[in-house]
Amino acid sequence: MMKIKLHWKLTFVFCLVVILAVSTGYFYLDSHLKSYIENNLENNIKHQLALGKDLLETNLKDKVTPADFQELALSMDKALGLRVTIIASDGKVLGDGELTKEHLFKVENHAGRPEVKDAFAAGLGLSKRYSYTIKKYMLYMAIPFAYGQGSGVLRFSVPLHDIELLEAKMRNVVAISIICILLLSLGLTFLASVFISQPLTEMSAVAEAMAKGDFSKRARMRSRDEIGQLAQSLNSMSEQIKDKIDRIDAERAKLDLVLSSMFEGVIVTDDKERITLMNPSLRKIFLLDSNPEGKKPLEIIRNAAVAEMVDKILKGKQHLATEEISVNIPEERILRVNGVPIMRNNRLEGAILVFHDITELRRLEQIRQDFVANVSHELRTPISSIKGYAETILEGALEDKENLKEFISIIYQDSDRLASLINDLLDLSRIESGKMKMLFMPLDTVSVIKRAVTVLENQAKAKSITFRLDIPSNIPRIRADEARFSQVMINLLDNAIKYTPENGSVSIIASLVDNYVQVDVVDTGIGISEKDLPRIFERFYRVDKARSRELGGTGLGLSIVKHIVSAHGGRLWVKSEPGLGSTFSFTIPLV
Amino acid sequence: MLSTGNLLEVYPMMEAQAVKKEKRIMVVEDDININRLVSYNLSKNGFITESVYDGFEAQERLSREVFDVVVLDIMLPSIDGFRICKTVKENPAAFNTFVVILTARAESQDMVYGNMVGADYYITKPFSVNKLINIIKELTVMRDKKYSVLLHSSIGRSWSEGGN
Repeated sequence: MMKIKLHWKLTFVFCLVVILAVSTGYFYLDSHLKSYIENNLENNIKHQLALGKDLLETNLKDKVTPADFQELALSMDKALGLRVTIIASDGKVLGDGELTKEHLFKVENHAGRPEVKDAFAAGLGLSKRYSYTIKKYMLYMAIPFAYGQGSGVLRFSVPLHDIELLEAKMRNVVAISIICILLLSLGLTFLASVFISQPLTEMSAVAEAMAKGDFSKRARMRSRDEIGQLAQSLNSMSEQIKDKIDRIDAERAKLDLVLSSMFEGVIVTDDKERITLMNPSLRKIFLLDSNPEGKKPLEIIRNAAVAEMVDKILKGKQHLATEEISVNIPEERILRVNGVPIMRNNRLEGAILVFHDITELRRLEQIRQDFVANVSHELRTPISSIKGYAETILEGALEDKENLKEFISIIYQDSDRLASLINDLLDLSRIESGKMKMLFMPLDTVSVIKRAVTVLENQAKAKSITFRLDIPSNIPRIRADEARFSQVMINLLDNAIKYTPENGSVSIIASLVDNYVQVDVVDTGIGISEKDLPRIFERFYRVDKARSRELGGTGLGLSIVKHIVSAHGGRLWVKSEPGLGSTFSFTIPLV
Repeated sequence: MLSTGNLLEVYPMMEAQAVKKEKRIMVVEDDININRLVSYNLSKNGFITESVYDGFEAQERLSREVFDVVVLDIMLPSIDGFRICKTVKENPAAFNTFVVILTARAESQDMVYGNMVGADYYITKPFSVNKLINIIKELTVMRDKKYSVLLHSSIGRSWSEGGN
């Protein structure tokens, strides 16, 4: 469809109105012009006739010769510019301004002429007809007059052709002026319509921009009329819409932010089970990179329990569904899925599924369970030993002099083991629950290490192990709890001595690393194999269970050390080469 | 279940054991003190004991030798007690071996699992030495009774007739 611009339409309508008005005027004028001119003419002639009659009657008081009539007619003709004819009452033409005397006699009798007849009958005669005498359409008007002994008719005649000429001339003038008016009004109309349509065109552009989402454009306010009001409404509408859209955008952004910062995976489906929304966490959980929108949950989460859950929710059978599922992507993950229906105006519109990754939770639970099982095992073993040996002694081994002493010493050892196990467990639980009170004080690094070393000097001497200390004397002070720091040092040194063969050496090296003092305890012991290394700090993890037991270890020492070091804000790690020795290192912050 | 063929194959071994007076008992326990405790008391009661401290070693020896009773700990280095018990119970040559689990694992699911792998007894630590000895004594006597019943069964008779 061709788009016709508004101002053209307006111009067209205006033109039509102007043409209609002008042409109506024209036709009105046209129809009245002729009769007006004729009337005017008739009136003129009528007045002139009356004047002529007076003139004639005055002049004819004495002169009554036919030649006088001819002269009078001639002079009147000249003065008035009309054809003047004087006709006697019998119809004989007495004088004619347009004819010579010779012609006059040839002129037929005028008694039968309608104007003459009328003049005698009514006092004024009028006739329009073709004159064979002068071969023209003529207007004849006649009036009777009287003189001395007779009477006659004074007739004026004007060729109608003159009127027509006048009329045509008038018509031309009218036509030209109409065309001028038309052209002028056309121009004006065009300008006016452009003036009217311009703001509308502008508003339309603004509205179009709004439809396309651009709310920066404003319609100009040119007037206070309806169009001005429209522009104002349009502008305020634009502002309101922009405001609403901004608010919706903000809400959306907030929702997106919430969804994307959620740790849980979220899927939203419509009532046909098609996915309409999905957050980044869910994509991460299920390793999705394609766009899942429009798909069904089963297509991306290949789990029957989830599909069944969605089905139940969408059938309105369940309001809150919880399911624990296990998926392999690529390693096993345990997810707790909560599903709720989306209800709006009492109508079911879809379902929301929330996926919590509880793998870590389950793992921690498992660790806790394992720990409980381990504690139980570690406690039961020495108790079994104590109880069993005591029972054995009571049942007769009292007489077995060969073994009795040893059995009693086993009871003693295992009681000791039980006691240290209980101490370690209490330490561990106090540290882990945060109930262990630590008094952080500035400590002199050199002396605090040296004090700990002294405690174990005898033990080292017994295995002919030499201690080497490498501590710079200017090392800054550390911020630590002295008792706990000593516990760490003693524990690490004790381990180093236990796992280092006779005549070996244990070095204690302190150095300044950034804002920490790093302490390395280097032994020349048996070392730790690569597979045991990552698990060495686990509770109850022992590289060699029998040996650990023999050496009185509880399996908790390193775990406690690690806890203490991290409570100080430091770090603990180990490097080892089996057969060559191990290096346990830890850092403690400076004051 | 054991087929007749297998039964006949292992029969001479059973006869050898029947003739022997002392029962051989393997004590699989990684805690030295408890292993020694059990072994000491068993030998006091006339059993011959073998102390094993490692799961793998126990598995190895049990596939080669037949014992009357295995006292088995669960938490062992290298191979756990349940698996050892299962292999013992699946070994046709060891059909006459009793397994007594002696463990610190006292949870019911462990006991159920012990039953599933065919253990004959499940004793939790701490335990009474006397009770353990009595159970082992009872088991070996019962095994002897079962053995004699087997001798007089139809399969046993057909074998002894064939022997005549």
